[in-house]
Amino acid sequence: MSTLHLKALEIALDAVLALGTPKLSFMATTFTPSSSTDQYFSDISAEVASGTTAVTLASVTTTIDTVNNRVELDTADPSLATITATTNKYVIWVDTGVAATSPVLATIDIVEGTLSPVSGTLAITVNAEGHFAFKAV
Amino acid sequence: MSATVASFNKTAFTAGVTNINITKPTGLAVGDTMIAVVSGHDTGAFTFTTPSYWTLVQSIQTAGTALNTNIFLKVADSSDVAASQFNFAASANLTQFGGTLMRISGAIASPLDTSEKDELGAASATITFTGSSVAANQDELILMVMVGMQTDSGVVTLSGYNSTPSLTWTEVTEDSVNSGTTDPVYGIAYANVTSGITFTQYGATLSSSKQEHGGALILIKSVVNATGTNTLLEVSPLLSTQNGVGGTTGTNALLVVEPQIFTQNGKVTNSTQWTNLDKPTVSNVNNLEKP
Repeated sequence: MSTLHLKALEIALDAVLALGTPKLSFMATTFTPSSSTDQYFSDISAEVASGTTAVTLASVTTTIDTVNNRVELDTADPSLATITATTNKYVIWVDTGVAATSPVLATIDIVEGTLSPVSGTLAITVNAEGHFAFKAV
Repeated sequence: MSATVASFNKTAFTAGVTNINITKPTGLAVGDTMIAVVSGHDTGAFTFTTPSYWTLVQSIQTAGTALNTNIFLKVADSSDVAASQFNFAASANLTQFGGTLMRISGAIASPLDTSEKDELGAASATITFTGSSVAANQDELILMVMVGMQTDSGVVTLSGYNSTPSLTWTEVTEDSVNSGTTDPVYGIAYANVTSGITFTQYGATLSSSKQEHGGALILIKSVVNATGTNTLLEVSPLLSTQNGVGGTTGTNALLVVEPQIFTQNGKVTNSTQWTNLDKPTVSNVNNLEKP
């Protein structure tokens, strides 16, 4: 039976995360991600939601979920305080210190749709399973 | 977090003063919004002085200019927090002068969205201001300030704050005084509104039908928090089907090498049998062949 080994996927993901500091950026509602061409943060930085700054992700963990046969990326709940912005999605990327070499990992929709805090706190309650997963088939 | 009236202090109508001090509301913190409503009556025209660093939101004048009510706003800083009271002044020694200072918590740093005022000279127990057009652009606190005055002796009270669309109005406070033939009253109520609400009417009820009156609406922007969630973004890599080319296991026939022998033609020469039985002398033969 053909098998994609979860450990290898986990090692690969860890290696990408180790390139720098994992961060999260809230994106403008006009941003349309391109899975094939949005490679580095410099490719998408112009589409970051106005009024927001990048959030350094805490408690970044990669976990093999043997029940669901996948490698999951999870973090602590990210938030930004005292901001006025409009966003409906966020991007997880790894900050190498240079935008042109900082890889973009995933663009993730906010379930509630567009969030518009006013001088308030913008937060994401991360799904219990994490942000994203690589599922072996 | 919706903005709300967290606390307030009131200085009751006082006769014959040009200044009033209002005690600092309990719990005032840096960043809180302070809204002061000062009201006064005199026999002639007068004005209120806008205190330094405060913003005049509205000035409601009824009974000509004899009954004035001003609404001031300021975002509290450290000096305000350190203060014990706030002073408000009029341009004349007033027949009656009072005011209320509210602490609004949960408002943004630039809290004032919009406001309007209405002034009517007609006497009526029911105050109804139509044609309002103030609209909430986000989650906000709306304040309604109502003022009135009757010319008969007696204390006037306010009740029945209302609006279209209908909201649940909560009165913060009101103050009135029996001042002989000119009895002023003001009241303050608040409600919380969400984005998209436009007011077309607001009003209240006075306890006497012989008043001139006015009113104002003030919208204060609330801090709006936003929390979202995400579904797990699951990526399933595709294992491509691999087409293998299977090798055939075969056998080989024995390679036999057979040497080829060419046919060889032999030749035999038969000797002639001599008939002479006499054997020639050998020596003679040899002599003949020698040169």
